Amino acid sequence: MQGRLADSLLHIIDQADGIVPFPRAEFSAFVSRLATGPVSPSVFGAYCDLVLALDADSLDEAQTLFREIADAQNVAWGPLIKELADPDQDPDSNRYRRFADGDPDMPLIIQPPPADLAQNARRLLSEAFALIDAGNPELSGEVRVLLREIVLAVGSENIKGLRFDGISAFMLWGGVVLNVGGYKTALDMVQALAHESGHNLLFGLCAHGPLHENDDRERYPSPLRPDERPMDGIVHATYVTARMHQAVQRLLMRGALSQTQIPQAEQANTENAKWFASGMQTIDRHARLTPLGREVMGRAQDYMREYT
Amino acid sequence: MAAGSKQQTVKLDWTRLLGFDQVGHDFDRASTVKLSDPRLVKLGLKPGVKVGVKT
Repeated sequence: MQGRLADSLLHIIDQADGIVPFPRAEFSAFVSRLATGPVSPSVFGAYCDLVLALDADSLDEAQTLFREIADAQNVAWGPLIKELADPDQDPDSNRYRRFADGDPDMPLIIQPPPADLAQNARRLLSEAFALIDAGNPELSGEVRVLLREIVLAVGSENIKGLRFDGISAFMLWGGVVLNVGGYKTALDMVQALAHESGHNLLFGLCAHGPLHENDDRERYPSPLRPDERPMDGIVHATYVTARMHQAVQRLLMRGALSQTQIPQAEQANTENAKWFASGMQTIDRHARLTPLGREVMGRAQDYMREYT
Repeated sequence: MAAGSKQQTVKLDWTRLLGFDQVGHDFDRASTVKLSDPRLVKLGLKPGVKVGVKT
């Protein structure tokens, strides 16, 4: 993703040169930093905002965004866990709020979380990382590479009566928003980490092309949501369900769970297997998968074959 | 010179831009595009949203 972002920014530099004043040397230095280490999800958001500003001929706004991107530094491998701040005061939080509400099918407003609920979510995250560090280090390492930021927030039911548990967005790559009221146990949080990092993994795999060729206006039943979704959502949901199953199954098989957690894990994976089978049924019937999509979903099917 | 004072346009080739290259071929860009534009569903799509009511 960062390589494709660098290529995209170089194209923008070429096209904007002489039209929008921007710090060319500093901007080029930032493009070089993309090759040396991770950057904040907000950089991807700033890039998206920049393209849209240029498309709208909002050159003053574009100039500000050029400066923001040029000033961005490499960040530590993640994830940084933080609470959503006041979006009216904090630019990064404002961007998370805007991008979280970017889906016309899922109007959604996220807000800063109450301190006690945020503290509880932090505890669950700590326990979840301890579980996967001990019992699923493959997942632990992958989550730490894929996720740079976990943003804790709350959101009330929207006009469709839906409430979010977790959000990943292509254009905030490496960042996820978790609803502090959405998870009750460490095992729930393990699945959340597997789920949201799975979306970000797929976003990265799609940097050079899509998983399917279905029309985005088509809608299909989702294994995880009561509302119908585009095929992109079905493929993502089905894939991350397999990933949630694998996360839990490894903890079970490696003896990493307590006697209390074992029945919770078995119940969770019964549901994960059911959701995967439901999603694959829709994909088999309706999806026009690309070679990349067939490879990705084929591997998920290979793993799940034993459990469905 | 204030940016934008000449009303110049930056012409971008969306096929060379991460994310925007996945917008459909029939995408009509005659009007100003915003993030929430349903025509940008591939960009704005958030498959990571799941809902409180699992089915």
